[in-house]
Amino acid sequence: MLELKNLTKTYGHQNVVRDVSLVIGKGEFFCLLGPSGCGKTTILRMIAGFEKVSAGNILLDGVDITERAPYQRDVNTVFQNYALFPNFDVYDNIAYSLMIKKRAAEEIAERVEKVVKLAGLTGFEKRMPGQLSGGQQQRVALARALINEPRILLLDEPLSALDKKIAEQTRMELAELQRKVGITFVFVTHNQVEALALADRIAVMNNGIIEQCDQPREIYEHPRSHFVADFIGSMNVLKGIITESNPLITHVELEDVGMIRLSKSDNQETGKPVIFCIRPERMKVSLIEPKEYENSLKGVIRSKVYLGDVTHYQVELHGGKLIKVIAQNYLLQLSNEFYELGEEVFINWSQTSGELINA
Amino acid sequence: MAGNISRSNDLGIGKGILLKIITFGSIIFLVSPLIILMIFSFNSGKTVTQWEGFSMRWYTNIFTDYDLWMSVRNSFLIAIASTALSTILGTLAALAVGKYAFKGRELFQNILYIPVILPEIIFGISLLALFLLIKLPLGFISVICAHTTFSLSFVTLIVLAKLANVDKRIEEASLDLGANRWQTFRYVVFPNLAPAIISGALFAFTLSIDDFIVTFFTAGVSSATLPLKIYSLIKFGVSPALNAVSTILIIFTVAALSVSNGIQKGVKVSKFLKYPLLGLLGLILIYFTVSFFEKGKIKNLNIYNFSNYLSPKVIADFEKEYGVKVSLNYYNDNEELLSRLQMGVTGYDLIIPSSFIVEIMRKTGLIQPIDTSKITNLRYIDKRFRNLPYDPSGRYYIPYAYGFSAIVYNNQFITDSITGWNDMYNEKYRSNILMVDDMLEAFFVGYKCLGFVRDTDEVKLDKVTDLLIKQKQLILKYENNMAVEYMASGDVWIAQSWNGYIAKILRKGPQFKMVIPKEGVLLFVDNMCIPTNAPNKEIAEQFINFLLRPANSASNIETILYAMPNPDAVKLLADSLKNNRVIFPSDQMLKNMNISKDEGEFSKKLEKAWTKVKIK
Repeated sequence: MLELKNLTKTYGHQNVVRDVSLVIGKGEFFCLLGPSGCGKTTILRMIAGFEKVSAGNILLDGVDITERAPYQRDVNTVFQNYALFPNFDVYDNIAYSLMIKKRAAEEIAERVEKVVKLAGLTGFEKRMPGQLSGGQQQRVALARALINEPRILLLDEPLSALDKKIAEQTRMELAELQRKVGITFVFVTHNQVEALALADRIAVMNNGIIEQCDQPREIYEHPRSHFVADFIGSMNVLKGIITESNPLITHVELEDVGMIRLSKSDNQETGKPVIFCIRPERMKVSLIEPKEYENSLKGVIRSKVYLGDVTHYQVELHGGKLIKVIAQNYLLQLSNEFYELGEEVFINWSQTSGELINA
Repeated sequence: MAGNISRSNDLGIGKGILLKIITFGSIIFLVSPLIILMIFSFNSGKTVTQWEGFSMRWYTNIFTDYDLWMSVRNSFLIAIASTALSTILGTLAALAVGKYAFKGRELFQNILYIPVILPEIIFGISLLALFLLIKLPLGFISVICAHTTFSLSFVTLIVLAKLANVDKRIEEASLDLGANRWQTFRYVVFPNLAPAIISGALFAFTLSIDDFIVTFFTAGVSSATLPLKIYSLIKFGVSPALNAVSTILIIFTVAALSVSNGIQKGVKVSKFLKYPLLGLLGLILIYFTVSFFEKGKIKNLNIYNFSNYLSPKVIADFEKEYGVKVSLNYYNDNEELLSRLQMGVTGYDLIIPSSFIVEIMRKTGLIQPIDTSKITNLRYIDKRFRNLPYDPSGRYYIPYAYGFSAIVYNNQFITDSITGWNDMYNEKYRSNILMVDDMLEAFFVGYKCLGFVRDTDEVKLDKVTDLLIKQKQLILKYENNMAVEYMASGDVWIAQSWNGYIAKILRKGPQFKMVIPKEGVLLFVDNMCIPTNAPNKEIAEQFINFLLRPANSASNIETILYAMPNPDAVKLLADSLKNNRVIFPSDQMLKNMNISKDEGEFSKKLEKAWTKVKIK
């Protein structure tokens, strides 16, 4: 179990990581997600021991390792550009940590063979790093870090240097590998698709703090901050004020748009400013009047992008706001509904859809 | 990558005939002097301009030259020490600059470029000033320090360039995998920097072996390196022996640089070669170190002299008889000797300055009185050479040898009768005249040409200066050491030269004639003096006394081909030698000779006028 307690990192007057606390469970696939400069890599480097901690503590299975040198921590890292040793071949790269520990040659050979198999590198042992493809280098980096069977494996954007096809394939292999070895993975990425696909839990970071830490589904469906709502996937974000709230329904007056209703309610205070978020795929463009359980806005189609499986619409409301709507093409075909630019339409959505976030 | 760069392009660039001509022209211009130099090292004749047949004699010659080998040993010892130091320090400096942010890092990085950018001569002078200031005796240590200083920058810059290409993450990866800082350096950082470090070391080594200017300023007693030795040999003309030495040096340098390049490109030395090579290097190192310390144990005499101006046989005999080790160091002209002593270089026991230099040294306290009671053989010296005007007391010098400059010409080109200095400046001989590059000689000739008596009158001086400028338009150049070669090749028809050279020229054929100008000649006397701070004054005096024994003086004259004022010694010489009027001027001639002397305050005006002549 890895525990971060009030972790802070300061460069000069700049706070890169601010008072971050986290608990990562044993065997968990944990993901730090955020835009570049949000502090995610700094946290990773503090866990590995490459950066000094300005304040706070790092505990590994209850033992404080904050002040330990990198080589005194039972933690290994897969670097963004893999950082293979160019002077060693694949075998020696993988065997490096055992060689440092002066293990017997037979033991080294046995353990290297095991991870070589695990990483699918059989036959490449005598190659030099320069003779490997990006995907192969990545696997060597993984094997090299895993041979120690560390308690935590840190992965710094391990897929970002690969091209898309190989990255997707490697992603699947990575998930499988993690299940096989059962080691805790802490994975840093700016790519939300990777995070959603791989992680048991995601911590979304911005400006040195964790905005939200949850399972992928929660992050996607129930963002709890403006940043998370905006950063993950595509989202319509509208400002408004609560005009009525009771256990059954909440009324929100949206700026320049009008009143909408949400059927779920957290007993919000009347008059409170909020942000209403709704994903484009939760809305539909229609010529039909809304049903009574639906919210509806009127507007004009301003753009339409056909993408094969879906069509993206942009609809301009009467107040001038643009709303994104994504329609499944097969549904449009079934109902034979096609909309043209400039057409006056309704945007309808269920009162159960959408989230209210404190402004 | 290399393949991509060298691939011919589709634009036709680099295919023009003009570019090829320029390229080949440049290459030929670059290497042809070296090739010519190497070819002439196999010349059987004595000149470097006339091919007389294939021979290995010059190689045999240099391989048996003890002094030359001492200088080679010095070069290697200095190169090995300075390479080791600069490689270690340079690598550490590169690691500091390349990996850590610290105060003044930018400044430090810029300072590293100073030895690369700064003219070497300024670097040499400033180092000399520093060494004299901190009273570091000039010798091996000072040269090693100096070489380390400039090599350090090259090593650092080479390693730094490599460091920039090494992924910094691999160090973190190593620490991450359980290696501590030392193990990380040992297994990851060092192996990845090794090609640059080795290449930097080889670079430092070659720089040290080849360096002349910095060594010139910082070398002291018996630490002369091979380039210094070569330079001092020029004094006695360019002989094919120099070509032979240079050829070996060129081959060595090219080999070292190829190895350096190969290592940088990652060519691996096979293990079978590696260990014998390392072993050999180790043995050489041990030999040099042992021989270096061996030397410190015995009595020493350090002589600072022109090269080839003292018989090796006499030195060997002295060493045997007195159990002293003689070290020879060389200068190229009197001014060099004077400036080194004035700069405060110490360690010399015996120096051989010319007459007017003795006067300057005596007046400025650079030399000390010699204990003549110990020089019992002083009685053999010709009385006319005692108590000369530059030291009337006669206590500061013992005359060593004397000579003069005269006219030599080739009667195949010149049919006019030549009797005096004025006859040299004939319009018909334009650009085929050679004069010695010496201020006192030039003005002596100038005054004689106009029939003036030398005094301090400035109007006369101006007239003489104007004449010299006019004459300069006719002559090929002012040059001291190449008269033999120029006359032999026919490039020069008539020359002013010193009698030692003239003797050599006359041996080239009957067409060469010597003329003692009717206006008179300038006599030079070279003298043995003992510097004020000589460490071994008694041994120096013993040596002087030893040399003055007629048998030893005779032996010495046979080698140097200059006259010594020792009548008993001359008696011992073969008739052909003692009757040679080129080497031994007649008494009548001696009477008409003028002795060059210090001009005092007037010499500043002379120097100004001489500069005026030289730049016109």
